[in-house]
Amino acid sequence: MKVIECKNLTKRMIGRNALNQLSFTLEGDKITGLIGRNGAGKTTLMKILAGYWHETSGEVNVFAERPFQNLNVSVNAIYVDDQMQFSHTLTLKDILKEAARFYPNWDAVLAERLFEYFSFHPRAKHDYLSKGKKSTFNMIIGLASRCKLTMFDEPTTGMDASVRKDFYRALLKDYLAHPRTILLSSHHLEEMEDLLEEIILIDEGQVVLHESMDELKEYAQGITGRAEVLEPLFAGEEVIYETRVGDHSTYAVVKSNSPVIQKAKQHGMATGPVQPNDLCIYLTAKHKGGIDDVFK
Amino acid sequence: MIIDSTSCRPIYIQIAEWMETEILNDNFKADDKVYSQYQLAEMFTINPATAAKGLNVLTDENILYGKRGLGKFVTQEAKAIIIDKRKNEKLKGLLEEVALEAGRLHVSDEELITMLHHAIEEHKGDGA
Amino acid sequence: MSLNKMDHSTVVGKQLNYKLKVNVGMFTSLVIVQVIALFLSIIGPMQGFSGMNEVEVESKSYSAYNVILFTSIWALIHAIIMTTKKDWEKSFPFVGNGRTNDLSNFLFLIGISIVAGILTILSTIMLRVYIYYFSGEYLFMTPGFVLSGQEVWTGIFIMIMHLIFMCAVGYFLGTLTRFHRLLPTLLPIILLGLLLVFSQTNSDFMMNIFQFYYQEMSATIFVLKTMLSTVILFAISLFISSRTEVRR
Repeated sequence: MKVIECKNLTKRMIGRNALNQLSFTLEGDKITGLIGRNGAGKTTLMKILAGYWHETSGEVNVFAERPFQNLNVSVNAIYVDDQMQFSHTLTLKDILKEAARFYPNWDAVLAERLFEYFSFHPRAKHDYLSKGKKSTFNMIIGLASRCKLTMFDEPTTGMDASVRKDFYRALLKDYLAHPRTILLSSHHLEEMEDLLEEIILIDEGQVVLHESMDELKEYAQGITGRAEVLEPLFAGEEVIYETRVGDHSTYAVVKSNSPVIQKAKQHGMATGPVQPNDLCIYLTAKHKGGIDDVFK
Repeated sequence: MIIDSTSCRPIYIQIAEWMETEILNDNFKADDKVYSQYQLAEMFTINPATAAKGLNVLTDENILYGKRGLGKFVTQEAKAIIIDKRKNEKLKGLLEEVALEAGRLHVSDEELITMLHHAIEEHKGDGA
Repeated sequence: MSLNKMDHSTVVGKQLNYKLKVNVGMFTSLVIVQVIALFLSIIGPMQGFSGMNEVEVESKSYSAYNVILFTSIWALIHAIIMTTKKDWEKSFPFVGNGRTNDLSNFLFLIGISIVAGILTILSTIMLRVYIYYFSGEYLFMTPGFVLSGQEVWTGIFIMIMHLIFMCAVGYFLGTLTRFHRLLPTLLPIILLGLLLVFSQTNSDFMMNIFQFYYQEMSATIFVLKTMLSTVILFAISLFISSRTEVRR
């Protein structure tokens, strides 16, 4: 069954399209990374999928139903971010108890164990937790609710390196035991890329790339060579990224099937794979040379 | 950690190579059942689909065989295939480097082949 | 993992349970408001002096209006608070939508109106008891000072309906403010402004509205009027909520 289906999904927000004719389909129990720069539309997309916001135009379906204020979506999907608010009258333990009443698949044992492991105080209040602790607590709710569609929006905000590592492992272990559709947005692609089965790269409200992680690693090649030899090779070819290194060298990124690579190799230039994280940055860069263009 | 996520080599290739090494080291013998995709995923904190892809690479190369519903097992000829493959890969890599270096030094193809012949002859002489 | 189903009534029930836990503070504030109102009624009765020749008459008239007024304001304000952005957002960490959230809020408000209504009438009875025993030498009882059982029950029922109506008004006004970011500040100004304009132009508009409900002599018709108005206000609120976005 299609878990998520978006067709020309558009969301208009204060004078611009936060989502602009965005289309993609997500099927099966996969862990998918939602990647994009700040303001690319990741949060907007997730909030629409969670049923909090409505679309301006286009079509969006979650479990084959329109998600906005839909109870079937609400009970089977959870959206976790650092803005989650809980009443100040509830202690952390109370919140877990309440969540248990609402989510049919709630795993109280898992919640309890994670709660102990991350040494939360049962009577602490959510409002007074530090940023990292809040994220960790919200993560417990996200995991223990075991919703068919689980969405984490920047789940590692404020977490230190070791908690992040714990989170990734907890997520994977729980996913292995209870496969479900997990959508993760994060700025730490390099940290979580091993977890992901596929990624959706969005930019300016549109899907730039929807690929499996393995293919992404082989999607592009970087070439380093003498500028006056390499740069003429680009004529008429698609170049993802290029920058000058020193006075004479150029580093460029092209698709793996680009004829530029063969030509560059014939000229004895070094070619090599590109890190997915870097590739995503290059693919969504507004300027080919990145921040360096500002200082020209 | 055996898996190097900062490496640009796809994780599934790294998984396949790790399995191969396990077989070379006799940790898995012929007809032994190997780790499932889920065990591998758990062991290395990687996506199970990636682990499955690694196992499939080995199945395609006849290093593993699948029994429906039971998992993947080591073939009789697994070790031989791995040794053979690694030899080829290493040789191929070395030759590519030679070709590249020859290009940089403007060594012509004929010259290079002659050099190679010499090298082989010398080696034969050593062996004899 | 298969999909779960949960019908509206189940979710409303769960949310109502949640609201009861979250809003315990409302019961405390109700008790405090009633105590303050009673206290004010006792220490500050309306004083009157009248003299004629050598005879001077000093009168104190006690009234339970304080209690009713205070409780009404309490109901109005709490209903508004429940619809404010902050409280509204906090209703959405778990399963639910605008409709279930509104329905559970209505049920909750009806519930506390019942408690508050009973408490208010009991307070006025307490006030009567106090006056009867402690007010001083001469007690002139206005008609209705001594209540019959029938009158107590009618009083409670009317008080409850009145408070539910107050909640509905508050909830409706609060819900309106979610239409636009500026409305939370604009709406009170507009309402106050309207009140001023109407009072300056000697318009009877506000008075008419008030009279329509509160000068109704028949208990049955009062109940019908407030009930119908409540249903309309809740229905409009429900309509708005099921269309507004949450967690902005």
